[in-house]
Amino acid sequence: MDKILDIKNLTVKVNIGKNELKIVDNISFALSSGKTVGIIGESGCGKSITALSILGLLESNIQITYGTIDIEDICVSNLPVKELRKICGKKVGMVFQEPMTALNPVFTIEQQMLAPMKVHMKISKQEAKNRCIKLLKQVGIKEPELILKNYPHQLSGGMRQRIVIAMAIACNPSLLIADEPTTALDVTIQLQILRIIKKLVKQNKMSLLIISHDIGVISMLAEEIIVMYAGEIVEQDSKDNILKYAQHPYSVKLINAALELQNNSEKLTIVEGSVPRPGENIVGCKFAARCEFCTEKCLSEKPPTILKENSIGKVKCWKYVKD
Amino acid sequence: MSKIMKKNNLNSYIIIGIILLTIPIIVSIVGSLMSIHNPLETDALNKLQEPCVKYLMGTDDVGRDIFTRVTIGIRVSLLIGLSVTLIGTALGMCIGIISAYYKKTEKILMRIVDGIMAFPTIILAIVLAGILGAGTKNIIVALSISYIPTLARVTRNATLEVLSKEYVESAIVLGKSDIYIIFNYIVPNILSQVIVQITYTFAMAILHESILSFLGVGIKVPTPSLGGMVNDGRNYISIAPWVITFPGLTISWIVLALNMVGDGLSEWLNPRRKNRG
Amino acid sequence: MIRYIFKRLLHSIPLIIAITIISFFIVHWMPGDPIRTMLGDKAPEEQVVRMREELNLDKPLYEQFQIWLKELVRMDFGESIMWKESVVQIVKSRIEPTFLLALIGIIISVLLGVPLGIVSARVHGKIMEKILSVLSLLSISLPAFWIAIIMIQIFGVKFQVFPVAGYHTIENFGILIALKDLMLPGLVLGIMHSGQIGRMTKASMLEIMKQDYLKTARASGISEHIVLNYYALKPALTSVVVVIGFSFAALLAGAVVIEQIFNIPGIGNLTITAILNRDYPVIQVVLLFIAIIFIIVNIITDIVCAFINPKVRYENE
Repeated sequence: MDKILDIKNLTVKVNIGKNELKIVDNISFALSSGKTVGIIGESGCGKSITALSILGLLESNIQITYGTIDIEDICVSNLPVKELRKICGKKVGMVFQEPMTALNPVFTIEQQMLAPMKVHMKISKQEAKNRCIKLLKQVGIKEPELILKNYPHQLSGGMRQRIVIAMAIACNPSLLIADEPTTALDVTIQLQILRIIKKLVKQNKMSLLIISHDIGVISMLAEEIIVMYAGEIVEQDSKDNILKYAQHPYSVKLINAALELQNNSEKLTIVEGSVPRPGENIVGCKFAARCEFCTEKCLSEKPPTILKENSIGKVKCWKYVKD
Repeated sequence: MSKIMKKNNLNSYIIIGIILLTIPIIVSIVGSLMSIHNPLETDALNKLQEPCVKYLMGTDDVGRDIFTRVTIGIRVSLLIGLSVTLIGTALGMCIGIISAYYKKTEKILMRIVDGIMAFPTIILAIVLAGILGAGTKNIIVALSISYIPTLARVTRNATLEVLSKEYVESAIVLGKSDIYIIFNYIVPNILSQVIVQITYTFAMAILHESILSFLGVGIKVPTPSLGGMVNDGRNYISIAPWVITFPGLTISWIVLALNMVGDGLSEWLNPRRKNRG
Repeated sequence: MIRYIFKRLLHSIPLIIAITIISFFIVHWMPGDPIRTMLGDKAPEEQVVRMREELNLDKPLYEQFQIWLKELVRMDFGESIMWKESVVQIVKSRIEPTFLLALIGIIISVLLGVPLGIVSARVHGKIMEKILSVLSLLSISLPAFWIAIIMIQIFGVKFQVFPVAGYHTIENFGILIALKDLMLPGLVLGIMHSGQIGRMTKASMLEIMKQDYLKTARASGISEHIVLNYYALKPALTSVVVVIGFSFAALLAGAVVIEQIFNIPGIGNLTITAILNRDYPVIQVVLLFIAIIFIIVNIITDIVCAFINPKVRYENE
């Protein structure tokens, strides 16, 4: 199985004034073609930054300081912008969180959809237009010819997100990255959008990297789940294993909280405390301060990432280290 | 994040601007303490003297010492600038806050403000100063009236922004008195935006005062004023360029310094919000 | 679109009413006796009384205001005290040079200022940004009258590239000579306003550079060059138009001073002369005229914006 995305030891730092803060800390994971992986974690844990660094879309004060990102065996983490753009849209499509601001207000939908096709595909304008219509139909838009003539402000949030999805898959990318694709939408629309993504991934045989803070979203789309905490990957495993037999104390709490919410349970478990700030100097495990199993070792030494007993998943916790 | 922001060093523009600003102030104070020339004394024998040890910046067409006149001009300019800024800000802030807080007054107050704003500031100032007649007091009145609308607008917009915040809404619901809300919630929160505007107003007031004096509707002759001195020296520029050079440089220097402080403050107090990570 | 324009025009009616009231009261509510100041202390009492009657200043304020309104409706504001000519005629004859001067000024300041702003935004965080920002700071801080005098000395007297002062009307001398007269004042006016335009353009460019839709464009593989020059520039255009409209008013005000220095017989020159001679009827009409121009420019700005940015149109229709 080919690896479509391979991230090794990725470390990302942000410069604020003279300070340099680590916001993604030495993470590694890979995505095989046709697979779907979800990243889950609280806001500010570095999920979005990870996604943005794949396509080199980080703000100028944020840099990859260590590690590599490979897309289909091309190392993109140190590729010049010009070369990188040839991959953006063609091999990797991206859907953003905020559909209200993701489309340019002064261009029609048609102008915006045609642009990436003009860059990546050698097709005539008429062909490209026909493709737009086809794509819009695929994302469940009923009158595509009419919509193409519209400006973004004339459309609802759900419609705009469908268009963003259509744009992301316009050039048949082999990997789709969806960064909180439904967070900004009404609950009723969320499910529709998720179904569209699921259908398209299957139809086009794409790989999917979905990022969300919502375990419901992740479990609907992903076969494999990565749990991130404070810029680190604390656990990664197949969906079922994470949902049923999560091992890292943080994953356990996260999933229990989500399940209780789902079951309308009266008593809600709260994960006490909050995520440590980036730049806070923590010697040991970053979750130690909120962990009920915390030992001396957890406070003084960083836990290693170890292979789980099922030999698929990995977990980063002293609890599972055998002497 | 707020901790990190505070550590963010004081903007270099503020420091440079303040240093630049203190130089003419010191020159003005030292100059008037050790002045050997009378700023009004004409001296037919020493007309249009080049800058030398006796006349640091030379003399003008009637033999008055330019350096002494510049030191007084600085003082007059700063005095007018400061008075205009204080009066304009005080009234502008009152109008801005009242029109934002008491919705009923909004229509009338803002109509007047918009009406006055339809006249370009400097033209309004020239007309008012011209009608009131030359003189320090009249310039202060003319410039203050011209600036009030802009300051009122800035204050009003800032106040409306604060009023839409939940913590102010909750204070209103809790039945706190208007005065309490205005002084404990609104004023502290609009201050950072208003301070920036105040600095720019100060710079603008000095620039506009020099324009008024240059046009002859500003400070009454023979009191030295930087703008007036440039006008006096106009006709002698080919033979005695120093007559207009020094007053003009001084105006530019002070206004530039104040605008730098304004830029620095606006970046320091209202940093653009960083995107979430 | 037509509906938007109509609505925008309707909105400006209260403002026009406000400025007619203000330009009346500015002149009439001032302390002191205008006739006395106009004629001087030594003038005989009967001359003062006669003059006061002539100008209707002996009537109560509300009657004077009625007269002002009647004048407004008839577009006839009587005679100038100084020139003994119809005020409307005087103002009309002064429009041409001021309009041309402002036009040259705005063209030069846009040609300098807009690229300055765009480049400054591009080099954000680099040393070049500091250099450019100091340049634009200088442009807004230096007194235009001082620069004008220096420029006259350099280009007019020393190198004799441009005429130093005066104005030849288009009617009598043709447009080329008229333009040549206005070249140097226009240049000064343009340079002194380019800083403000540059600063405002930069601010709006920086705002747009942060927008998500540029991220979308980049993520779909659009080259950086096109992202900056097409995807970012078109939305920025709306703000640039607002900046230009805004600067036009400031430029018109700046022209007052410039005209005075270059001795150009325009509206600005008229304003100063009328003020120095306390020619109240002229002052009133000039004030009103400038404010109306200001409002018209604002309306045009809004309409152009609505044309470029469909969102503005949509929100206001």
